[in-house]
Amino acid sequence: MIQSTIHALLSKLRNKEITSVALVQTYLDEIEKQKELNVYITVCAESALKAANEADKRYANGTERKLEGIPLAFKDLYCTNGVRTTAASKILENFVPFYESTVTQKLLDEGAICIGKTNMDEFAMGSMTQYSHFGPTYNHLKRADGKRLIPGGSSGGSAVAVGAHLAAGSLGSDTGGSIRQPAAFCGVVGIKPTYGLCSRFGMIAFASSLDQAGPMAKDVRDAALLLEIMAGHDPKDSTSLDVPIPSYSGNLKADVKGKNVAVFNECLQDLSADNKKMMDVAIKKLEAGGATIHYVDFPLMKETTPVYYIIAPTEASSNLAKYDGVRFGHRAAGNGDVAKATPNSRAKTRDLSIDELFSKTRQEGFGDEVKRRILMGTYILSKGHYDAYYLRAQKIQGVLRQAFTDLFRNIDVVLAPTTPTPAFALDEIPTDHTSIYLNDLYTTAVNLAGLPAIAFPFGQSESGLPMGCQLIGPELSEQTLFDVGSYLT
Amino acid sequence: MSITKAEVIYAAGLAKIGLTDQDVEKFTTELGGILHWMEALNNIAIPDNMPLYRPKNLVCERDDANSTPDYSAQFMTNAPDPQHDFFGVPKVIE
Repeated sequence: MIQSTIHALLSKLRNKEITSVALVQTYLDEIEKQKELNVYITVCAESALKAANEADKRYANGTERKLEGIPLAFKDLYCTNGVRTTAASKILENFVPFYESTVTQKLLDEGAICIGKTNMDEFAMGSMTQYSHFGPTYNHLKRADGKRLIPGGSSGGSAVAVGAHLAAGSLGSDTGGSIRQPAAFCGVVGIKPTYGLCSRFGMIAFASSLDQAGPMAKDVRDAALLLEIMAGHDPKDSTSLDVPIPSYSGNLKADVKGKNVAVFNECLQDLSADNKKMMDVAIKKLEAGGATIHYVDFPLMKETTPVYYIIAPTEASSNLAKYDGVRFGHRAAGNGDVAKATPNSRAKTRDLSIDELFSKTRQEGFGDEVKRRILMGTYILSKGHYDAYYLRAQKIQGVLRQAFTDLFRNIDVVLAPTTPTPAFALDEIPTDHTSIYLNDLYTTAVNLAGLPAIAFPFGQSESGLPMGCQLIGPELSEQTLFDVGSYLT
Repeated sequence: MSITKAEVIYAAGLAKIGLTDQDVEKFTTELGGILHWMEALNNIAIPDNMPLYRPKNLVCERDDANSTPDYSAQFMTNAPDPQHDFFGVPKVIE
């Protein structure tokens, strides 16, 4: 039952072949069984079963909604009313929001059930789900040599939740590839929508001009269904687009006839044998379906990755300034344990300056990768470096966006690999950070240009792992991406 | 371009992040490596009149009216040191 897609589960629920309570309980049992993968930071067993009971009543009286009784996993950066939301950081270890993020509220309003909050890289900064205060998440897939693999990141928990059948679908977030890269490593489907299509209200911010919510699912139809519910204008997010949202799943047509598909020559250079094979097969399949392939020079796709590593940390250094131990989150104990808030301990805080409180709280509360990016962002924005780095990066971002605009005058979608390699083992993690950042070689340009892109599994590597294929389209081309993705899968 | 230990300490001061001596050593090496990698951007040609990139949908306007109820009591539930209706902090004025 838990291996089924959301649309198959909905059909079984409607036909009374299964109940939502039984479904939720089966997922909870599986979560317990596969606990060593460390997928969830918080499991919402009690509330999920209660909601499932309500869902079953709705099915009984015929008032079920679009996602009635479907258990979903939410990345732990979506604020969930009354449920701890940590962003995988010690600094938010005990933070319990009193409001719901817009996208999770929309899913709940259609009957979805939050089964738990998934692990991630702290504040979404990473591509391996190894930088979490709550410990690393492991890929459910194993290579022939039996080594434990990384799941990718930062939405690694959400990807494994879907791949290991620990939820019917999940929510990730994508700032530089954080949905698509773990989707590729775990053999699931993930879409990064057009910037502004999904509200960011209630999403804990990393880099606000790049962050975008998106679903992760077992197949393209499920991803389409989740996105059409999540998307839509929200007055609480000033960057939210006010555009009509089509029924992506209802309109889904696995057809590529007449489509113009670009393949970047630079993405064919230096490809691994696995990626080369994947691209060859995908190109042939597209041609067989009536699409025309255009080989195009587009060096900016790979060249602009460092731009992402300038823009994102600068925005992060500003967004994360609010974590200072004053209003919420972890507070350093200082000379007295102020968290206990006894009259005596308050007296002791007088020995601690406010600056010491800030720097000690942030020293204790943030992990190394977050500190590294805040320091980088602060340095780049400081006097004497702003023009050389930030201003130049913004100008190149403009060049990139213009290049994509020109490209999409004659092209419907771009076909590219999602990652340079399939999932790798824990002992193969590079030791230098720039090599780790190169995991994002095929993904960051999409975020810098605000475009949508879908990642899905396509074929297998020599070592038997799923390979990740990516389609990129112009703004608001989600339907085309779902259609072409559906054809290829 | 490399970064010095003094610059790392200066950035940490601006960012209000306490660092140990070992942290300073480590981040100086790591950030230096990343900045060196970023130098590749100097090879990308930028037209003279290139405007800065801005997301184009940043003009969403709302009515100039208060739409938020008073959540002060809920905010205090996450405060590390709530004192009456205020956030407790160390003495700020010397």
